[in-house]
Amino acid sequence: MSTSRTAWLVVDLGFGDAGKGTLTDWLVRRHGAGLVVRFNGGAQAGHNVVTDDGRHHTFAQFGAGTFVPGVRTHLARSTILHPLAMLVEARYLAERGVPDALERTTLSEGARIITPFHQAANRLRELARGAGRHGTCGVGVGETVRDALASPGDALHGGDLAQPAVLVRKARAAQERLRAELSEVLRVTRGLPQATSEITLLEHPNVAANWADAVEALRPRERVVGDDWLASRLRGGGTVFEGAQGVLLDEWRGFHPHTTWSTCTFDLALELLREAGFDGEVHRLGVLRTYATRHGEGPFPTDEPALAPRVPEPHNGAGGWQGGFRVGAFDAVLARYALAAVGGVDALALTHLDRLARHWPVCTTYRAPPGYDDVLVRDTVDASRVTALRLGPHRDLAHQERLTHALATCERVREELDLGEQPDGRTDRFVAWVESTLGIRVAVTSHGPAARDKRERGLTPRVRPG
Amino acid sequence: MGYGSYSYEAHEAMTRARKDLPQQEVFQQKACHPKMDPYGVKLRESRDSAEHPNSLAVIMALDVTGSMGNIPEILARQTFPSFMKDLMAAGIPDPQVLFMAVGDAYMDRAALQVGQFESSEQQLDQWLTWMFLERGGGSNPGETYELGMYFAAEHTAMDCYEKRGKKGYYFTTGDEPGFPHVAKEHVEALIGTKMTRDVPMEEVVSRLDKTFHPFFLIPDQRRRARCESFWRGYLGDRVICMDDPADTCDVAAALVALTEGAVQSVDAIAERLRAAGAPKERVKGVVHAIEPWAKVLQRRAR
Repeated sequence: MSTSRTAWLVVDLGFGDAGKGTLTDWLVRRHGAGLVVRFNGGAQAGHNVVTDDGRHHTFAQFGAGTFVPGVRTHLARSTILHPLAMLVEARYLAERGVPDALERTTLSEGARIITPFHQAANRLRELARGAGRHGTCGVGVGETVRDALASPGDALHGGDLAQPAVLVRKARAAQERLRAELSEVLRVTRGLPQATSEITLLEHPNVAANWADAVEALRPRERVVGDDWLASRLRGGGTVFEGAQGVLLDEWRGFHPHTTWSTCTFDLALELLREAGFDGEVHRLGVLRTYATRHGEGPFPTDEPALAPRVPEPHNGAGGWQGGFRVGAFDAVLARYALAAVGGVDALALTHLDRLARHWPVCTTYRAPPGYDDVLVRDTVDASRVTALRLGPHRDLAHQERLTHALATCERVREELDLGEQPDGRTDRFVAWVESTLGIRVAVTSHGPAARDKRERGLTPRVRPG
Repeated sequence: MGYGSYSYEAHEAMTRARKDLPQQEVFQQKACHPKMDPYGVKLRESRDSAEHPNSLAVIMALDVTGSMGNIPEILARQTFPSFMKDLMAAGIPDPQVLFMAVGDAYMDRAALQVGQFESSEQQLDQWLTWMFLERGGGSNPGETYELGMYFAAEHTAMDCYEKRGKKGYYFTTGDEPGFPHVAKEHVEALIGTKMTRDVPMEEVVSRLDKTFHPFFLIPDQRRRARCESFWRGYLGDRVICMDDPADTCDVAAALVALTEGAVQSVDAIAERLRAAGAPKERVKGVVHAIEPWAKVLQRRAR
């Protein structure tokens, strides 16, 4: 157990799926961190970890350090909990030799809670959009965040879980509120086969009470803690702040409306550290794959279906509500934009180096017709080339929407790196290319799904002033 | 990001827990459910049984027209199922509840739907589910509430009244006036009784008054203006103005409890609601709605 007070902040610089889970697991093992804090998003996360002895789990709400005995998970105030999904996940973990995941987990009293009604509402809205889909996980995270903003007094929080009467009342109120709000959506979706059971949940009188009964199995009284709990834990040793989703899906920095209802930058983690009066070392780690990926709807400039057979995806199916999983060339334009959006990182973690082939597609510029000069940065010599996306004022969704439209006009300029005959040399060549292209050091490389497949290139601590 | 598979599994389980649901189609009623069609119905009966020796008949006639748009179907389906429990909690040992849906016979296809008197929540729930929420109502300035009153007056038989001389309770929820007559053609078309003439509203109310305590519940203060004076003309103090439609069940249960003398005071009602965990705001709303009627009862007692 490390006694040094260090916090590693792991954030995905793409559209999610870069490998935050496997890096979190590795950091916990390599640096003896005893606590993993989830600080954004919720049950829609899917962080894959494979142990050295071959056990695999997709972590959604438990921290990706949970395979390591004794490592705790804390779901911070800024997360959104799906209580029943957590119970399902605990059962899966038990089947994989981790029977005590729940006992090692704490939940902030301020975390927002997903009810079946929010999940049903989320799905019905997406169904009602028909062809104009935004892309959703179908979990209800966004619906829960939206509803909590609209009805702050009625929103369910972690603290309510331990009070059954309050829980039922608030859940019922949520059901009524959402039904009333969705009357038009219900009209449009009634009769669609996918909508039937969702509508039933929203309309049936016993769901709230049944749900509250089921939530009891979490034993919330043992789980829910005040926000001061984290401060004392942070003083006890190393902590990994495991981000969810990706900066390019960030609610304010992503490409509106194809975004998530969550802040995916380091901001929420830094805020928690500040509030806790944390004075240890902080490492901000940005994670990227050697190629680009995207789940579901929205801009994806380097889309390259022909690449798919070379980069098999064992754990990310074209699952359920999210839509297909797309792959494309490494996109330096988007990576630079993500780096600007998070205000820089201390180091990069690069994953999926085992996928590198001799001829590797990358993209450093787009070609675009004239227009959108307010959001696109063009090459001074060749104005048809787009070299960067402009970072807008914070929380300016009009700018973010312009970016979405602008990206639709952009076509990737495909380049191909020759990484050489020998697989061993490819890693070094590609890492060098990334470092020079993005101007940031690569501190960790990942060559496979397990901790033993990680190679550290030196994690130099940074002490953040203030 | 993964694909939320644990939450999907949890969600499916939640859906499966609904296996006691009637067929899905019930939520897609496109017309009056045959079991709720009043056409040709001679009598709806509220009878004592071994388990319920002291039956008390309560009719809840819900306005299901579009004008009640912000009392969406959810209220009908979410808070009414606990109505039975609310009545028992208020000290009525054997309530028997019948649900009706009223609309506008001048405009709608299913302007009157009538369930049966039930003693169990499960059966009550069934009728609510079968209710066809037409959301019509049209553009005329009223709904045909009087048809429901006429049906209750002429087509019910109740042990509470026949054996014990106790009137039943008839609640209408609504936000519009009714019409001054029960139209002959509506009764013939919807209930199937041959009529010689229209029946004036006064006559319907006084006939209803013999066997029921009729109340008219206005969902919120904002909508009093549209209908209060009309209903006061016929029902006087038994027009009840609520703060929030969500209070409908609690208010109705409290009115029964007070009128029956099962609960002595408004304070006792408030106390019970608080003990049951009702939010302060809602307790206040219920108290606000029932106070005028409680004062009337006190005056009568003197």
